[in-house]
Amino acid sequence: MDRECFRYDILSELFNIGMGKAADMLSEIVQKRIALQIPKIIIPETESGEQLGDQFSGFFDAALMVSTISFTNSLTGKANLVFPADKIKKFVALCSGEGSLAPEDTAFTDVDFDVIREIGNILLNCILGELGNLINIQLNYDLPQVAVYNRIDFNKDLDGEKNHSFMILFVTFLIDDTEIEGAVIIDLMVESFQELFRLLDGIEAGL
Amino acid sequence: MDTVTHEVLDHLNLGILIVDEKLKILFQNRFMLRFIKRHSEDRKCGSLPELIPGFNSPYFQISLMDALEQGHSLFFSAAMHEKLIDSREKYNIRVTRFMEEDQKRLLLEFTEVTDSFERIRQLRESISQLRLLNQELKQKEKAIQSLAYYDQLTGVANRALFYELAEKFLRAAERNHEVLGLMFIDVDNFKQINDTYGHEAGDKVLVQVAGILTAATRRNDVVARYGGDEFLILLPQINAPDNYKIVVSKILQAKRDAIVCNGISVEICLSVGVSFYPQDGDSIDQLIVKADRAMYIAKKQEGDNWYYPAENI
Repeated sequence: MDRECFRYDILSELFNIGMGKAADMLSEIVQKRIALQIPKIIIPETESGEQLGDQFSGFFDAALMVSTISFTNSLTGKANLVFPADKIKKFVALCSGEGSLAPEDTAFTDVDFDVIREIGNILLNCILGELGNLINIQLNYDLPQVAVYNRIDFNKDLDGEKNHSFMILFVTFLIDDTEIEGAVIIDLMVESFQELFRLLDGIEAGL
Repeated sequence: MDTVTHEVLDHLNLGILIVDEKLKILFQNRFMLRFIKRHSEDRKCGSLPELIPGFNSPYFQISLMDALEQGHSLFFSAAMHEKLIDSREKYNIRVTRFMEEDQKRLLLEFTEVTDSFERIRQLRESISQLRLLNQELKQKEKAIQSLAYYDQLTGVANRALFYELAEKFLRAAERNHEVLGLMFIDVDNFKQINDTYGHEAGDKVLVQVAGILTAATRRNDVVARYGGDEFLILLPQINAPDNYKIVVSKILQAKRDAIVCNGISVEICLSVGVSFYPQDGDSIDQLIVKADRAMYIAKKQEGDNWYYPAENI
């Protein structure tokens, strides 16, 4: 099998298992059926000169709410759960059982930040946990930090990171009949990225 | 734990709980006494699920075990776990693993966020009140606008709105090299109707006339009450010179009986004069003067229900 394909396949499986666990946990908490779908994993070519922000064109065009976990130890980097800010209110209402929202209710509150922090904690924990289990590494990290970004600033932040490589997972949350699109961006130092692929290749060799 | 540390933790304005690997409570500060309702001063340590039964659920059990094993911090928000703690107050809970010699411990911090929830509830209430206020203001604004721009008796445009729209139509006609028509309509024998049947009857006639004119015009035409028994109609974008005749013919063919009082009906007769931009003038006032003259000629020469194009003057 082509090495590149193998890496994609194994990462897809890993992220799907992580997402599945996160979906089960979220479903139990909110007492609603929640499904998480990952349509595709994108690993942008750092040499191609394409801006990372271009990957999000059409998906996120306004403000974003981002829940970020920084991890260290065997791998160093950040995992970000990104939602378009205009969907956060609906998402929070669905997750916290608040019911319908007034259309004018657009200002973010502490509660919105808390809910996104917890969801980020669950989801990113599951993904990083699966990654750690699969390649048998230990990652150290704390609770997520939650912030609201202007999309342009967020893109600039990502594109400005030197010696970093990225993995992007576009995630769709299905809560009852409502679909909310988000993304997980895993931002690794280049050395960690190479280490990850070396460990994945080790798995292939062991099969 | 030394006395000073104990004392400091007891004075914190957040709940501190330390549990072992079996979730047995090793320490709880004074803040946590609020969760022990039956024995308010009893600081006897049981297990975490005994203190807060919600922690018995599979989700919390798995999460806490995972935190113990993997060392990951956890965050449980009050919004998503409203029923976890049987209390009016709301708490966010943060869980961190630490090691005491070789033993794994979990530190649970309970931060009260009732104020945030209360603030948000008040905020929502204010938003809701503001929304209602905004709706009322919009309705009032609409009413004020209506008072400023519409004739209160007939509901058609008043003189102010007529001039505002007329200027716009005239500029558009200049720009696009179009013909703009203006009709001047006067109710025949209106004074006589007023004198015979009273002003209330006269008002009914004016309302009926406004209805006739509105029904006879196109969607973009503007019917306005110019004053007294005089009405104006703006006819923008007249493509063919005779197009205005369709409107005139509709006006003349309309049912003309107005019931004025006690079942008495009066036949409404109208005189219509027409003028056009650009041939009859290049200002609205010039067009009104020409159409007014045409209307008077129509009234004198042709009798009721007739019109006289301005170019024939």
